[in-house]
Amino acid sequence: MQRGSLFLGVNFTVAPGKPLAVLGPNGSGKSSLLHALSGLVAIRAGRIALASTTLDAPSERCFVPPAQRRTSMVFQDYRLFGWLTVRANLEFAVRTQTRTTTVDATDIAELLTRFELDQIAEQRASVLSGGQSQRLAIARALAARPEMLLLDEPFSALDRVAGSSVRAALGETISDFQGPVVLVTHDLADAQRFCDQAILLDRGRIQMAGPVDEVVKGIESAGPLERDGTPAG
Amino acid sequence: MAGEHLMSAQRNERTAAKLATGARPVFVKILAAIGLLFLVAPILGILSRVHWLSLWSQLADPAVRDALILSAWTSAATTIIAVVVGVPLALLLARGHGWTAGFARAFVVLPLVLPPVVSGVALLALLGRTGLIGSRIDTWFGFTIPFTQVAVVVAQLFVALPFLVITVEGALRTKGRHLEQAARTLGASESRIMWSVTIPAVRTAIIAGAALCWARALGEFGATVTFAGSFPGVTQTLPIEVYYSLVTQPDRAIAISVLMIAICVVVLVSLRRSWSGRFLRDT
Repeated sequence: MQRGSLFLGVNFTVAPGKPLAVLGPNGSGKSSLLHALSGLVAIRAGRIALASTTLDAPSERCFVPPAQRRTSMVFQDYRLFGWLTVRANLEFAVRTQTRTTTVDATDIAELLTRFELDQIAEQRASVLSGGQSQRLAIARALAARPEMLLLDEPFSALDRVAGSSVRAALGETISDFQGPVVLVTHDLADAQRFCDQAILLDRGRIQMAGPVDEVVKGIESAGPLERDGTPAG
Repeated sequence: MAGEHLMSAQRNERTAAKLATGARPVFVKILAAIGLLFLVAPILGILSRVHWLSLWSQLADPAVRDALILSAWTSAATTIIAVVVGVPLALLLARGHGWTAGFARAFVVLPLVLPPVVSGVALLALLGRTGLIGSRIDTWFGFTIPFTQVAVVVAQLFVALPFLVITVEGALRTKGRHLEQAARTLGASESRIMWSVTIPAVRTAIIAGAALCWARALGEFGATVTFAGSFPGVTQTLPIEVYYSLVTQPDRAIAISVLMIAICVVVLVSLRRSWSGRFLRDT
């Protein structure tokens, strides 16, 4: 979250099985919202909770560090450990969660197959293509067995072909995931494809919220937004 | 023929690349040539004075051998200590906030600008027999550090440590932070992040910093001769041997200088990937 940025009246709930799309223009606070949910930044007011567990609440002097939140995040720029192989990136996540040095090879093999990474399992992550990198980033996030999944514009850096394979992998992931899923995207079609609910952010405020189809329809009919969130013209 | 065709294609490609980047202004080339000549000419001067036929006999002299062994192990020990304390220091400086990090950084940079002999005087003031800490060491344990081989390592470490710290801190500032965030979201502890993410992400910078530190330690003179003295076979390192040989045995001074140039060139060439900025692209 940028110093001085502010969320006002941002209040929403993400239910398991009902992924939430976070929409909005550049600078609206979409990524900052994910950073707050993951614990990479601490909020100054309000409350973040996962099920009955408070993750961040300044008024209760409660802040759970990101390492303890069981929340995995897939970043826009992948953030793979380039010096490790594909397999080792997955093993890192598994070892981190299990706090052991041993890894169940079956779990790793299943992820490699599911995300079409088995043929490149021994390649270093630094040499992967965009689509391969994003599939690995998603697989690594799942390898940590999170209770909440956060996705920050997972398709923005991909071309059409790579994006197609990642969308297929992500679709299965989201539909199988047991916990809450929050997807940040500027692509309305992706929001409708993967999510049930949506919020529209602009300058740190929720402009619209509700079923994704309604929010998308509202965006398309409203046209461009002024800086204060009101429709232009 | 196919070979000529290939040569022609390479030449055209090179020419095309030169044309695409454009020619540098003439004054830039002239000034750059002057700068490069200033750095290359003294080396050529040394090489022109070498008596190649007697080079080996000069280097085989027992005094030179003792100085070489002393310089080799003290610079190696200095580098190891520098890595052990310098990498954590670089980490704290790179990830630190507020005025404390800036304050600490000023002291890290200070040995770079201090005259080396002043560094030696400072070490004497601290660790000398009447020094701030040295007097207590002498009283409690009955030994003094100045004018010993330990003093050689201490002097080298004082002047060479900043090279490693600044190199590693620079790398940490430009990379690693985003990867650390990713590791946190995967549940990694700060300790695991440091060992498994941060340090591997800047490993090439650590190697480059260690090489710079080692080279500086190997060539250290002013602080060493002030704090450790120049006792043949005890604290007379290669640079000190060169200095004292200049007057009595100039051929030996030239021979040792050529040896030191050769050692440094070998190290620099082996680390050329670091100099080319590869450490900024590790991940």
